[in-house]
Amino acid sequence: MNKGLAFVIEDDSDLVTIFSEALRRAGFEVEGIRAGDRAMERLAAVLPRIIVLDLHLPKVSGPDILRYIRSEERFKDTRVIITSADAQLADEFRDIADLVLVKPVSFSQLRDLAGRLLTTDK
Amino acid sequence: MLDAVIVLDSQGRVVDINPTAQKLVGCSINKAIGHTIEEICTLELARLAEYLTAPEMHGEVTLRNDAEPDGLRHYDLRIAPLNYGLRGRQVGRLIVLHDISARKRAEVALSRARDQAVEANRLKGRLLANVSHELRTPLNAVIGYTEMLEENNHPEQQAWLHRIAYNARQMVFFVNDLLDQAALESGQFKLHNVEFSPAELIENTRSLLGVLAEQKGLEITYVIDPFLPGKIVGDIKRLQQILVNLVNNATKFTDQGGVSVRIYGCDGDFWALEVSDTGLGIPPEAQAYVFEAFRQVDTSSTRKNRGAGLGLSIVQQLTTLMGGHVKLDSQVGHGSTFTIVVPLAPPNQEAAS
Repeated sequence: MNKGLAFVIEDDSDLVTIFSEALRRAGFEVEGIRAGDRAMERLAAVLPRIIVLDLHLPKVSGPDILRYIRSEERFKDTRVIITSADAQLADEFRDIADLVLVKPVSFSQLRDLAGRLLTTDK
Repeated sequence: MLDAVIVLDSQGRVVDINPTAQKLVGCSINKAIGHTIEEICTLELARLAEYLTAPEMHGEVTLRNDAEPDGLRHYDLRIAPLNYGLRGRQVGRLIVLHDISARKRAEVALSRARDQAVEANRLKGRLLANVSHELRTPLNAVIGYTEMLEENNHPEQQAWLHRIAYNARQMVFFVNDLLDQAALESGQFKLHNVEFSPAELIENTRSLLGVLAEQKGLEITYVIDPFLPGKIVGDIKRLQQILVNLVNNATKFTDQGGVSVRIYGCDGDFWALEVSDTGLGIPPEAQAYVFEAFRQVDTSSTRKNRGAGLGLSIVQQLTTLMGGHVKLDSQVGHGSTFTIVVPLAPPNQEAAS
Protein backbone atom coordinates (compact mmCIF):
# COMPACT_ATOMS: atom_id res chain seq x y z
CA MET A 1 0.00 0.00 0.00
CA ASN A 2 2.77 2.41 -0.93
CA LYS A 3 1.22 5.83 -1.32
CA GLY A 4 4.44 7.43 -2.51
CA LEU A 5 7.06 9.73 -1.07
CA ALA A 6 6.53 11.99 1.95
CA PHE A 7 8.84 14.66 3.41
CA VAL A 8 8.99 15.53 7.08
CA ILE A 9 10.76 18.90 7.26
CA GLU A 10 11.28 19.61 10.95
CA ASP A 11 14.30 20.72 13.02
CA ASP A 12 13.54 18.73 16.18
CA SER A 13 14.90 15.19 15.80
CA ASP A 14 12.25 13.62 18.07
CA LEU A 15 9.47 15.14 16.04
CA VAL A 16 11.11 13.92 12.84
CA THR A 17 11.01 10.38 14.32
CA ILE A 18 7.37 10.67 15.42
CA PHE A 19 5.94 12.39 12.34
CA SER A 20 7.88 10.01 10.07
CA GLU A 21 6.49 6.98 11.89
CA ALA A 22 2.95 8.39 11.58
CA LEU A 23 3.34 8.84 7.81
CA ARG A 24 4.94 5.42 7.41
CA ARG A 25 1.96 3.85 9.12
CA ALA A 26 -0.29 5.83 6.77
CA GLY A 27 1.48 4.04 3.90
CA PHE A 28 4.13 6.53 2.77
CA GLU A 29 7.79 6.14 2.14
CA VAL A 30 9.30 8.90 4.34
CA GLU A 31 12.33 11.13 4.18
CA GLY A 32 13.12 13.25 7.25
CA ILE A 33 14.87 16.61 6.66
CA ARG A 34 16.10 18.87 9.46
CA ALA A 35 17.17 22.11 7.74
CA GLY A 36 15.54 24.47 5.26
CA ASP A 37 18.41 24.59 2.77
CA ARG A 38 18.56 20.78 2.64
CA ALA A 39 14.79 20.70 2.04
CA MET A 40 15.18 23.06 -0.95
CA GLU A 41 17.89 20.77 -2.39
CA ARG A 42 15.71 17.69 -2.04
CA LEU A 43 12.64 19.46 -3.47
CA ALA A 44 14.66 20.32 -6.56
CA ALA A 45 15.55 16.64 -7.00
CA VAL A 46 12.37 14.71 -6.19
CA LEU A 47 8.62 15.21 -6.09
CA PRO A 48 7.01 14.24 -2.76
CA ARG A 49 3.25 13.69 -2.65
CA ILE A 50 2.91 15.02 0.87
CA ILE A 51 5.03 17.34 3.03
CA VAL A 52 4.86 17.87 6.77
CA LEU A 53 6.46 21.29 7.23
CA ASP A 54 7.59 23.08 10.39
CA LEU A 55 7.61 26.90 10.16
CA HIS A 56 10.78 27.59 12.19
CA LEU A 57 13.70 25.99 10.40
CA PRO A 58 17.42 26.73 10.19
CA LYS A 59 18.79 28.38 7.00
CA VAL A 60 15.60 28.62 4.89
CA SER A 61 12.32 29.21 6.76
CA GLY A 62 9.14 27.14 6.49
CA PRO A 63 7.08 29.97 4.98
CA ASP A 64 9.73 30.46 2.27
CA ILE A 65 9.62 26.76 1.43
CA LEU A 66 5.82 26.83 1.33
CA ARG A 67 5.80 29.83 -1.02
CA TYR A 68 8.31 28.11 -3.27
CA ILE A 69 6.16 24.95 -3.44
CA ARG A 70 3.06 26.98 -4.25
CA SER A 71 4.84 28.93 -6.98
CA GLU A 72 6.00 25.82 -8.86
CA GLU A 73 3.61 24.09 -11.24
CA ARG A 74 5.14 20.65 -10.70
CA PHE A 75 4.07 20.64 -7.01
CA LYS A 76 0.42 21.23 -7.88
CA ASP A 77 -0.57 17.80 -6.54
CA THR A 78 1.69 17.97 -3.47
CA ARG A 79 -0.19 18.30 -0.20
CA VAL A 80 1.39 20.43 2.53
CA ILE A 81 0.65 20.02 6.24
CA ILE A 82 2.02 22.86 8.38
CA THR A 83 2.96 21.97 11.95
CA SER A 84 3.92 24.81 14.26
CA ALA A 85 4.15 25.64 17.95
CA ASP A 86 3.17 29.20 17.12
CA ALA A 87 -0.61 29.17 16.69
CA GLN A 88 -0.76 32.79 15.57
CA LEU A 89 1.91 32.38 12.92
CA ALA A 90 0.38 29.09 11.75
CA ASP A 91 -2.96 30.85 11.25
CA GLU A 92 -1.45 33.04 8.56
CA PHE A 93 -0.92 29.97 6.37
CA ARG A 94 -4.39 28.44 6.57
CA ASP A 95 -5.17 29.59 3.04
CA ILE A 96 -2.02 28.39 1.31
CA ALA A 97 -1.42 25.13 3.18
CA ASP A 98 -3.69 22.11 2.81
CA LEU A 99 -3.78 21.61 6.54
CA VAL A 100 -2.45 23.50 9.56
CA LEU A 101 -1.77 21.63 12.81
CA VAL A 102 -0.67 23.35 16.01
CA LYS A 103 1.83 21.45 18.15
CA PRO A 104 1.52 19.28 20.12
CA VAL A 105 0.35 17.27 17.10
CA SER A 106 -1.16 13.90 17.94
CA PHE A 107 0.56 10.93 16.32
CA SER A 108 -2.68 9.14 15.45
CA GLN A 109 -4.30 12.36 14.19
CA LEU A 110 -1.41 13.01 11.82
CA ARG A 111 -1.42 9.40 10.63
CA ASP A 112 -5.17 9.44 9.93
CA LEU A 113 -5.22 12.90 8.35
CA ALA A 114 -2.23 12.19 6.10
CA GLY A 115 -3.87 8.99 4.92
CA ARG A 116 -7.10 10.79 4.14
CA LEU A 117 -5.59 13.91 2.54
CA LEU A 118 -4.61 12.05 -0.62
CA THR A 119 -7.71 9.84 -0.91
CA THR A 120 -9.97 12.91 -0.98
CA ASP A 121 -8.16 14.10 -4.13
CA LYS A 122 -8.99 11.12 -6.22
CA MET B 1 6.67 82.07 34.88
CA LEU B 2 5.50 85.33 33.33
CA ASP B 3 5.85 85.85 29.59
CA ALA B 4 8.69 88.00 28.26
CA VAL B 5 7.28 91.01 26.36
CA ILE B 6 9.24 93.42 24.18
CA VAL B 7 7.84 96.34 22.15
CA LEU B 8 9.89 97.54 19.18
CA ASP B 9 9.41 100.62 17.01
CA SER B 10 9.35 100.57 13.21
CA GLN B 11 13.19 100.68 13.12
CA GLY B 12 13.47 97.64 15.40
CA ARG B 13 14.50 99.67 18.45
CA VAL B 14 13.24 98.76 21.92
CA VAL B 15 10.39 100.96 23.13
CA ASP B 16 9.46 98.88 26.16
CA ILE B 17 10.70 95.66 27.73
CA ASN B 18 9.18 93.91 30.77
CA PRO B 19 11.26 92.46 33.67
CA THR B 20 11.03 88.86 32.39
CA ALA B 21 12.33 89.94 28.99
CA GLN B 22 15.11 92.01 30.63
CA LYS B 23 16.22 88.90 32.49
CA LEU B 24 16.06 86.86 29.31
CA VAL B 25 18.20 89.15 27.18
CA GLY B 26 20.42 90.08 30.13
CA CYS B 27 19.90 93.83 29.84
CA SER B 28 18.11 96.42 32.04
CA ILE B 29 15.30 98.58 30.67
CA ASN B 30 17.49 101.72 30.86
CA LYS B 31 20.20 100.19 28.68
CA ALA B 32 17.74 98.55 26.29
CA ILE B 33 15.51 101.42 25.26
CA GLY B 34 16.52 102.95 21.97
CA HIS B 35 18.70 99.98 20.96
CA THR B 36 18.02 97.13 18.59
CA ILE B 37 17.81 93.57 19.88
CA GLU B 38 21.09 92.68 18.12
CA GLU B 39 22.84 95.42 20.06
CA ILE B 40 21.65 94.35 23.49
CA CYS B 41 21.55 90.54 23.20
CA THR B 42 24.39 88.47 24.64
CA LEU B 43 26.19 86.12 22.27
CA GLU B 44 24.15 83.06 23.36
CA LEU B 45 20.97 84.88 22.48
CA ALA B 46 22.15 85.81 19.00
CA ARG B 47 19.74 83.18 17.69
CA LEU B 48 16.87 84.97 19.33
CA ALA B 49 17.90 88.20 17.61
CA GLU B 50 17.79 86.37 14.25
CA TYR B 51 14.18 85.35 14.84
CA LEU B 52 13.21 88.80 16.00
CA THR B 53 14.00 90.42 12.68
CA ALA B 54 10.88 88.75 11.24
CA PRO B 55 7.96 91.17 10.74
CA GLU B 56 5.46 88.58 11.93
CA MET B 57 5.66 84.99 13.20
CA HIS B 58 4.37 82.30 15.53
CA GLY B 59 6.51 79.29 16.32
CA GLU B 60 8.71 77.46 18.77
CA VAL B 61 12.30 78.48 19.43
CA THR B 62 14.95 76.74 21.49
CA LEU B 63 17.71 78.71 23.20
CA ARG B 64 20.79 77.58 25.07
CA ASN B 65 20.52 78.03 28.83
CA ASP B 66 23.03 76.52 31.22
CA ALA B 67 20.64 76.77 34.16
CA GLU B 68 18.44 74.09 32.60
CA PRO B 69 19.07 70.36 33.23
CA ASP B 70 19.31 69.68 29.48
CA GLY B 71 21.03 73.03 28.74
CA LEU B 72 18.06 74.22 26.68
CA ARG B 73 15.07 76.45 27.20
CA HIS B 74 12.05 76.24 24.89
CA TYR B 75 9.73 79.15 24.01
CA ASP B 76 6.57 79.73 22.13
CA LEU B 77 7.41 82.93 20.21
CA ARG B 78 4.84 85.36 18.80
CA ILE B 79 5.72 88.45 16.82
CA ALA B 80 2.78 90.69 15.91
CA PRO B 81 2.88 93.96 13.91
CA LEU B 82 1.58 97.07 15.69
CA ASN B 83 -0.51 99.18 13.32
CA TYR B 84 -1.74 102.70 13.72
CA GLY B 85 -4.29 104.96 11.99
CA LEU B 86 -6.86 104.36 9.24
CA ARG B 87 -4.35 103.09 6.69
CA GLY B 88 -2.89 100.72 9.23
CA ARG B 89 0.65 102.08 9.03
CA GLN B 90 3.05 99.74 10.85
CA VAL B 91 4.59 101.61 13.75
CA GLY B 92 6.38 98.68 15.39
CA ARG B 93 6.19 95.10 16.59
CA LEU B 94 5.09 93.31 19.75
CA ILE B 95 7.18 90.32 20.80
CA VAL B 96 5.90 87.76 23.34
CA LEU B 97 7.99 84.77 24.49
CA HIS B 98 6.11 82.15 26.48
CA ASP B 99 8.32 79.60 28.29
CA ILE B 100 7.23 76.05 27.35
CA SER B 101 10.34 74.22 28.67
CA ALA B 102 8.42 72.22 31.29
CA ARG B 103 5.93 71.00 28.69
CA LYS B 104 8.75 70.13 26.27
CA ARG B 105 10.61 68.12 28.90
CA ALA B 106 7.42 66.28 29.83
CA GLU B 107 6.94 65.44 26.16
CA VAL B 108 10.46 64.01 25.92
CA ALA B 109 9.99 61.98 29.12
CA LEU B 110 6.67 60.72 27.84
CA SER B 111 8.10 59.67 24.52
CA ARG B 112 10.98 57.89 26.28
CA ALA B 113 8.53 56.08 28.58
CA ARG B 114 6.52 55.12 25.53
CA ASP B 115 9.60 53.67 23.80
CA GLN B 116 10.42 51.66 26.94
CA ALA B 117 6.88 50.34 27.15
CA VAL B 118 6.94 49.34 23.49
CA GLU B 119 10.28 47.50 24.00
CA ALA B 120 8.99 45.78 27.17
CA ASN B 121 5.92 44.69 25.28
CA ARG B 122 8.01 43.37 22.41
CA LEU B 123 10.12 41.32 24.86
CA LYS B 124 6.95 40.04 26.52
CA GLY B 125 5.63 38.90 23.16
CA ARG B 126 8.91 37.14 22.44
CA LEU B 127 8.82 35.53 25.91
CA LEU B 128 5.36 34.15 25.30
CA ALA B 129 6.32 32.83 21.87
CA ASN B 130 9.45 31.21 23.35
CA VAL B 131 7.61 29.74 26.34
CA SER B 132 5.03 28.32 23.99
CA HIS B 133 7.65 26.84 21.68
CA GLU B 134 9.91 25.53 24.47
CA LEU B 135 7.00 23.68 26.06
CA ARG B 136 5.07 22.57 22.98
CA THR B 137 8.02 20.95 21.20
CA PRO B 138 9.07 18.52 23.98
CA LEU B 139 5.41 18.03 24.90
CA ASN B 140 4.77 16.96 21.33
CA ALA B 141 7.60 14.43 21.60
CA VAL B 142 6.21 13.04 24.87
CA ILE B 143 2.68 12.75 23.48
CA GLY B 144 3.85 11.32 20.15
CA TYR B 145 6.08 8.61 21.58
CA THR B 146 3.47 7.67 24.17
CA GLU B 147 0.82 7.21 21.49
CA MET B 148 3.21 5.13 19.39
CA LEU B 149 3.90 2.91 22.40
CA GLU B 150 0.22 2.57 23.19
CA GLU B 151 -0.57 1.30 19.72
CA ASN B 152 1.69 -1.74 19.64
CA ASN B 153 4.94 -3.33 20.67
CA HIS B 154 7.75 -2.00 18.58
CA PRO B 155 11.43 -3.02 18.55
CA GLU B 156 12.36 0.59 19.33
CA GLN B 157 10.21 0.72 22.46
CA GLN B 158 13.17 1.23 24.81
CA ALA B 159 14.59 4.06 22.70
CA TRP B 160 11.22 5.82 22.60
CA LEU B 161 10.79 5.53 26.37
CA HIS B 162 14.22 7.07 26.73
CA ARG B 163 13.18 9.98 24.48
CA ILE B 164 9.97 10.50 26.49
CA ALA B 165 11.99 10.78 29.70
CA TYR B 166 14.49 13.13 28.00
CA ASN B 167 11.79 15.45 26.65
CA ALA B 168 9.92 15.50 29.95
CA ARG B 169 13.20 16.50 31.66
CA GLN B 170 13.70 19.30 29.10
CA MET B 171 10.33 20.72 30.08
CA VAL B 172 11.19 20.44 33.77
CA PHE B 173 14.50 22.30 33.19
CA PHE B 174 12.67 25.02 31.31
CA VAL B 175 9.96 25.45 33.94
CA ASN B 176 12.68 25.52 36.63
CA ASP B 177 14.49 28.28 34.73
CA LEU B 178 11.30 30.32 34.55
CA LEU B 179 10.72 29.85 38.29
CA ASP B 180 14.36 30.74 39.12
CA GLN B 181 14.13 33.86 37.00
CA ALA B 182 10.93 34.90 38.78
CA ALA B 183 12.48 34.23 42.23
CA LEU B 184 15.68 36.12 41.35
CA GLU B 185 13.67 39.08 40.03
CA SER B 186 11.54 39.25 43.16
CA GLY B 187 14.66 39.12 45.39
CA GLN B 188 13.41 36.05 47.23
CA PHE B 189 16.23 33.78 46.19
CA LYS B 190 18.30 32.07 48.94
CA LEU B 191 21.67 30.37 48.56
CA HIS B 192 22.62 27.29 50.59
CA ASN B 193 26.35 27.29 51.21
CA VAL B 194 28.19 24.06 51.96
CA GLU B 195 31.81 22.89 51.87
CA PHE B 196 32.77 21.05 48.68
CA SER B 197 35.80 20.20 46.56
CA PRO B 198 36.25 21.68 43.06
CA ALA B 199 36.39 18.12 41.68
CA GLU B 200 32.89 17.39 43.05
CA LEU B 201 31.52 20.37 41.15
CA ILE B 202 32.67 18.82 37.88
CA GLU B 203 32.01 15.16 38.69
CA ASN B 204 28.36 15.78 39.50
CA THR B 205 27.65 17.53 36.21
CA ARG B 206 29.81 15.54 33.82
CA SER B 207 27.12 13.10 32.70
CA LEU B 208 24.62 15.93 32.10
CA LEU B 209 27.07 17.97 30.06
CA GLY B 210 28.35 15.24 27.79
CA VAL B 211 25.14 14.35 25.90
CA LEU B 212 24.85 17.26 23.47
CA ALA B 213 28.63 17.51 23.02
CA GLU B 214 28.78 13.84 22.09
CA GLN B 215 25.96 14.25 19.55
CA LYS B 216 27.88 17.10 17.93
CA GLY B 217 31.23 15.31 18.13
CA LEU B 218 32.76 17.94 20.41
CA GLU B 219 35.17 17.27 23.22
CA ILE B 220 34.80 18.87 26.64
CA THR B 221 38.04 19.17 28.60
CA TYR B 222 38.31 19.87 32.31
CA VAL B 223 41.26 21.41 34.19
CA ILE B 224 41.43 22.09 37.93
CA ASP B 225 44.21 24.32 39.26
CA PRO B 226 46.22 22.14 41.72
CA PHE B 227 46.96 25.15 43.92
CA LEU B 228 43.29 25.79 44.62
CA PRO B 229 42.27 24.88 48.20
CA GLY B 230 40.87 21.33 48.47
CA LYS B 231 37.66 22.67 49.98
CA ILE B 232 35.65 25.67 48.87
CA VAL B 233 32.50 27.07 50.47
CA GLY B 234 29.56 27.87 48.26
CA ASP B 235 26.16 26.80 46.98
CA ILE B 236 27.30 23.76 44.98
CA LYS B 237 23.86 23.12 43.44
CA ARG B 238 23.71 26.65 42.05
CA LEU B 239 27.35 26.54 40.93
CA GLN B 240 26.52 23.34 39.05
CA GLN B 241 23.54 25.11 37.50
CA ILE B 242 25.88 27.90 36.35
CA LEU B 243 28.35 25.37 34.93
CA VAL B 244 25.61 23.43 33.10
CA ASN B 245 24.17 26.64 31.66
CA LEU B 246 27.53 27.90 30.42
CA VAL B 247 28.65 24.56 28.98
CA ASN B 248 25.28 23.95 27.30
CA ASN B 249 25.45 27.39 25.71
CA ALA B 250 29.05 26.84 24.59
CA THR B 251 28.14 23.47 23.08
CA LYS B 252 25.04 24.85 21.35
CA PHE B 253 26.96 27.57 19.55
CA THR B 254 30.04 25.52 18.66
CA ASP B 255 30.14 23.25 15.62
CA GLN B 256 33.86 22.59 15.42
CA GLY B 257 36.66 22.41 17.97
CA GLY B 258 35.70 22.00 21.59
CA VAL B 259 34.71 23.37 24.95
CA SER B 260 37.10 23.72 27.88
CA VAL B 261 36.24 24.14 31.54
CA ARG B 262 38.83 25.55 33.95
CA ILE B 263 38.66 26.09 37.69
CA TYR B 264 41.47 28.19 39.18
CA GLY B 265 42.41 30.52 42.02
CA CYS B 266 42.43 34.32 41.51
CA ASP B 267 44.08 37.26 43.26
CA GLY B 268 42.79 37.78 46.77
CA ASP B 269 40.23 35.43 48.16
CA PHE B 270 38.51 34.58 44.89
CA TRP B 271 38.33 31.61 42.57
CA ALA B 272 37.14 31.36 39.00
CA LEU B 273 35.09 29.01 36.86
CA GLU B 274 35.88 29.53 33.19
CA VAL B 275 34.11 28.06 30.16
CA SER B 276 35.68 28.64 26.72
CA ASP B 277 34.49 27.55 23.32
CA THR B 278 35.66 27.73 19.70
CA GLY B 279 32.19 28.65 18.45
CA LEU B 280 30.42 31.51 16.68
CA GLY B 281 31.44 34.26 19.12
CA ILE B 282 29.23 37.16 20.18
CA PRO B 283 29.23 40.49 18.28
CA PRO B 284 30.29 43.50 20.42
CA GLU B 285 26.86 45.15 20.33
CA ALA B 286 25.23 41.92 21.55
CA GLN B 287 27.73 41.50 24.41
CA ALA B 288 25.96 44.40 26.12
CA TYR B 289 22.63 42.61 26.35
CA VAL B 290 23.28 38.84 26.38
CA PHE B 291 22.85 38.82 30.17
CA GLU B 292 19.40 40.41 30.00
CA ALA B 293 16.48 38.04 30.52
CA PHE B 294 14.71 36.90 27.34
CA ARG B 295 17.29 38.59 25.11
CA GLN B 296 18.97 36.48 22.44
CA VAL B 297 21.59 37.31 19.84
CA ASP B 298 19.78 35.66 16.94
CA THR B 299 16.00 35.98 17.03
CA SER B 300 15.34 35.22 13.37
CA SER B 301 12.92 32.46 12.42
CA THR B 302 15.72 30.69 10.57
CA ARG B 303 18.06 30.56 13.56
CA LYS B 304 19.53 27.20 14.37
CA ASN B 305 19.60 27.36 18.15
CA ARG B 306 16.60 27.78 20.35
CA GLY B 307 15.99 28.46 24.00
CA ALA B 308 14.10 30.98 26.06
CA GLY B 309 16.97 33.41 26.63
CA LEU B 310 17.13 32.83 30.38
CA GLY B 311 20.40 30.89 30.89
CA LEU B 312 22.89 33.77 30.98
CA SER B 313 20.53 36.05 32.89
CA ILE B 314 20.27 33.40 35.61
CA VAL B 315 24.06 32.83 35.58
CA GLN B 316 24.72 36.52 36.13
CA GLN B 317 22.11 36.99 38.84
CA LEU B 318 23.29 33.90 40.74
CA THR B 319 26.93 35.00 40.53
CA THR B 320 26.08 38.48 41.82
CA LEU B 321 24.12 36.90 44.68
CA MET B 322 27.26 34.88 45.53
CA GLY B 323 29.25 38.11 45.83
CA GLY B 324 31.03 37.59 42.51
CA HIS B 325 30.92 38.81 38.92
CA VAL B 326 30.84 37.46 35.35
CA LYS B 327 33.36 38.35 32.62
CA LEU B 328 32.83 37.84 28.92
CA ASP B 329 35.55 37.77 26.28
CA SER B 330 34.39 37.07 22.78
CA GLN B 331 35.33 37.62 19.17
CA VAL B 332 33.09 36.77 16.26
CA GLY B 333 34.38 33.64 14.56
CA HIS B 334 36.88 32.90 17.32
CA GLY B 335 34.67 31.77 20.18
CA SER B 336 33.70 33.03 23.62
CA THR B 337 35.03 32.75 27.16
CA PHE B 338 32.70 33.24 30.10
CA THR B 339 34.39 33.49 33.50
CA ILE B 340 32.61 33.69 36.81
CA VAL B 341 34.75 34.97 39.68
CA VAL B 342 33.40 34.24 43.17
CA PRO B 343 34.80 34.56 46.72
CA LEU B 344 36.36 31.47 48.39
CA ALA B 345 34.36 32.39 51.49
CA PRO B 346 31.04 33.78 50.29
CA PRO B 347 29.15 36.49 52.19
CA ASN B 348 26.89 35.18 54.92
CA GLN B 349 23.40 34.79 53.47
CA GLU B 350 21.59 35.77 56.66
CA ALA B 351 23.70 38.89 57.07
CA ALA B 352 23.30 39.78 53.41
CA SER B 353 19.54 39.40 53.26
